[in-house]
Amino acid sequence: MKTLHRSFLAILATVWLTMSALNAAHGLDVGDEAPDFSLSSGEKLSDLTGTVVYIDFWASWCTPCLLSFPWMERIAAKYRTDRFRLVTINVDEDRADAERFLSKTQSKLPVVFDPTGALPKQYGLMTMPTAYLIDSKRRVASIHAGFREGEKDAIEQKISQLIQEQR
Amino acid sequence: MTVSRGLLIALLLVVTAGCTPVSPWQKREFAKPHMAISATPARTKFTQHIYQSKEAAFGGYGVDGGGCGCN
Repeated sequence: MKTLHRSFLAILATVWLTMSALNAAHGLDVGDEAPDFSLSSGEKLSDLTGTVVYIDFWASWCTPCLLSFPWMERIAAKYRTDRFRLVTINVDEDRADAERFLSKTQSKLPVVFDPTGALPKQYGLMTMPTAYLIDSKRRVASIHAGFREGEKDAIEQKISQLIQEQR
Repeated sequence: MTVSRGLLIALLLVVTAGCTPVSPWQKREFAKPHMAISATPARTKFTQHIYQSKEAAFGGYGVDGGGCGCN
């Protein structure tokens, strides 16, 4: 009985240690430099120095992402200046799923397709959706994990404030 | 004793082989309706609202973001 007990504890400890080691990957923090990537326009994120960039990771199967699109469309239209850019990154493995989502939402937002998940890995995404607000020096100004109706105004305020600071 | 210890090590190896974290961007399968814990999300959300207000317990039922763990 005692051996069984010990074995059970050993299994639990091994599973816990393995999971801890596997989950040890660390994502971006506020103040870190945002990893560079190519945008759908052909530019690179590093070309946008001097511009505030809102980077949103989304997928077709993510319900909160569906809610975030009308808001992002509004923000992109409202802050259409040289000092702000909104970029979305799709992580669907199947591009057709993403295309269906885009036609359903009638989105005109620029999309970078990343079916291999290389970018979310670099950014260290913890949940879907996640958005990164990048300042004009390509540093992470804030990270918004998830999308909730109640947080929209606060995010917009941060975007607006950051654009004002670039003046 | 040596045999049981060997068995234990083998068992540990088998168990740990099954451990792999699913990244947030790989949770498409979990988002499918048949992966949700509840078949009636609206009713579950209503019930959860009661629990949330009475017990300050929140989430974990795949209501808001399907079963993908979104939000």
